[in-house]
Amino acid sequence: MFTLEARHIHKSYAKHVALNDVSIAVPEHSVFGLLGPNGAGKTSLIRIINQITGPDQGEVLFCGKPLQPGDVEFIGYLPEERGLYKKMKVGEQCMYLAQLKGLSGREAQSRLKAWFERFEISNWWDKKVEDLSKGMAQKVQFITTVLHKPKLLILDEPFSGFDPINAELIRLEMLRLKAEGTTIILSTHDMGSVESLCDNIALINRSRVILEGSVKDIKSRFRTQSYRVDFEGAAVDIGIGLWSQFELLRTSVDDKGSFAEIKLLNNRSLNDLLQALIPHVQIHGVNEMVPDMEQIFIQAVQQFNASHE
Amino acid sequence: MNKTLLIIQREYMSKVKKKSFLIMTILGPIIFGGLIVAIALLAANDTTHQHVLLADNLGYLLEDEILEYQKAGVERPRFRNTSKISYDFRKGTVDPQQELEAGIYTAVVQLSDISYTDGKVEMYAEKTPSMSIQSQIGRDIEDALELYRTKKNNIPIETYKSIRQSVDINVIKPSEGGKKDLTSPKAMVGFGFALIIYFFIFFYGVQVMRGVMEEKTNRIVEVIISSVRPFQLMMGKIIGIGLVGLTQFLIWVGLTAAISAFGVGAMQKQLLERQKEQLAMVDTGGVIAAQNMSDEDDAQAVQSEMLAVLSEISWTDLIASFLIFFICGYMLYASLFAAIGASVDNETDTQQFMMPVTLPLIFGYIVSTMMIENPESSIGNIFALVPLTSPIVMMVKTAIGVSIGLKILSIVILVASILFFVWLAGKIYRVGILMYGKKPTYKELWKWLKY
Repeated sequence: MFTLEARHIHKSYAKHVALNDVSIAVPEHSVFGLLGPNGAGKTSLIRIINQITGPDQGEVLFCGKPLQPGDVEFIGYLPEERGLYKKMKVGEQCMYLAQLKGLSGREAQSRLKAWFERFEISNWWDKKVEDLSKGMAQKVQFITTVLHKPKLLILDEPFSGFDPINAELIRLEMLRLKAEGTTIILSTHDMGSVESLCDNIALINRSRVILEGSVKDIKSRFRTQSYRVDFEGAAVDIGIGLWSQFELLRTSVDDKGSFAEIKLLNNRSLNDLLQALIPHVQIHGVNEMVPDMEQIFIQAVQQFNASHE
Repeated sequence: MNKTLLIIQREYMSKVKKKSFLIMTILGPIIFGGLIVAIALLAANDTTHQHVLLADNLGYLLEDEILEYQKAGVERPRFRNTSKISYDFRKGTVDPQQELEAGIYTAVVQLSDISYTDGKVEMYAEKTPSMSIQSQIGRDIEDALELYRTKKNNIPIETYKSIRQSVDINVIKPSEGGKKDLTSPKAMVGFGFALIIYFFIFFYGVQVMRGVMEEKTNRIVEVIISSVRPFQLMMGKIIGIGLVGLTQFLIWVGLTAAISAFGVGAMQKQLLERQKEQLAMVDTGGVIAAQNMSDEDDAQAVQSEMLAVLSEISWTDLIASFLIFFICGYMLYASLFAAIGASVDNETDTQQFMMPVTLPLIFGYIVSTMMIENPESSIGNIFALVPLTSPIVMMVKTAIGVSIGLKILSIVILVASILFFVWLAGKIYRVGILMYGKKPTYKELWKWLKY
């Protein structure tokens, strides 16, 4: 079951194509990373999901049904460019935004109280927004985004403006919301948080989805059959041990000792490598060199751009 | 609760709770009302008494015969002493500086030979007497000179009077029962209402523009339009601020009326006392009494004309029209101002787009001023139909009387234009609020309409 499906979305502005046949499917109760370089089309897609703009072609399904204007009450959106009314008091402002999302005054008040207590900011209620620091305002903004218990939460760079402690607080809140059944779309350039939070991702580049799937699958797709071997002995001995079925990428020394990065060729297995090496060096450890999301991001974008020059 | 209502409520409350609104709302009438009272009191309390020495080198004006002639009541008696002015007469030439320094007189008027031929008279005074005192003295001398000349030329005063008769044109509309025409003064009343509409559109239109711009630069706008449609946000703001304007206007009307009523009440009390004073004087001198009576006649004539103007205006029509054109005019311009606010990021960039919006407004104002001079010009008819000027021009037309057909046509055109301009503004607004960076050109605005 998908909370959100976008099918073959096209969107263009004047002469610029923002989205070209973009399809994504966001499974229920998961965190979905929406990744891509600046200007790739992420914000355009998010705005279509929020019904701020409409697609030229294609359709968006929300919980299996075509997106309705009333669905905004089930979606929470934290835009990248966000702010609050400076002259309004924090409490008033939260009440207003909550009621715009369809909560009754009483309901909004009791939920806000709970959130303010949890974030330990109860004394902010009567403060004016202009007296808050950036991080404080971001906290308030996060609360207003999730207050109406949306089925789908769209967070665009949610960690910007937060110190590491508060960023962790937000990260934990996201995991808690996910555990409670909220589906989250996370758009960010912070690949560390993608690794730690996302179940699935879609990478948008130049108005198209160029990579999608679960983080696990994508990572294994980008495996290069390369291993790091920590060893004791002369670097030259490694080279002697290897034969044509392996490629020595590099050898080096770091604080753990000597290591070599070796790529398997011709479907050779790790066992083959170890057999080849054991007679020559003392092996301390072997680790597969799994690319992290940042490397995958860069590699995928560069490959795509190179093939579409 | 309906979301547009929520937005209206927030707009309204956040503006009304502002200190600046409170200050403006309370200070406004105090300033206006206070000004009216101050002017009225100043005018009523202008007690500087002018003691005038009239020196006549030939002395003809001072001949007993002329003075007697006046006393007989053939012509209006002149050189009378009132609470504001009193005369002393002297034959010959005086040294004005010496006379003034002696401190008895506040002004010295010297008649010379040339005064008899060319009507040139010198007045010496350290403090310039008010215009009304000056013209009073002038009229007094003029009348005396006329008497002198008629006598010198052996013209009976009655003959002269019949020759000198001035002309007073009384415009009469046969279709309206032959009553005296009061179109121009009525146009003045309408212009007053037009002026109110003009200022409110300007003032609150700019508030709408600022509000939209604030939401855009605060970056709260994207948060809100993920909950409501941009059009709802725009209309909520326009209506909310419009209600603030209406509230302020009603408070102003109430407070101004109260303050002026209080002030005018005090003034009337003073007038009453003065009248009593004058009545007491009637017993002492018939001449003065006669003069006072004729002055009162003048005042009464002006008053009765004012009353006639006010009673001839259809007030229910005028007030109903005022409300309709006030609200419609505001809606029309506020939507344009909202579109401007959405198109730009900062106040300085608004100038370029403000121009074409404010131009028709100012034009409507100019046409209205022209209509006081020429109430039934065809220009007025044309601009009473043009939607961007009709809210202002139509007020003047309503005051002087306008056919119901023309008014309905004007309202229909206005309402249709509101629908069009609100639609147009909505289109620009929707795109504009999410556009940051450089100021758009008109060409880009045109493209936004097609998004």
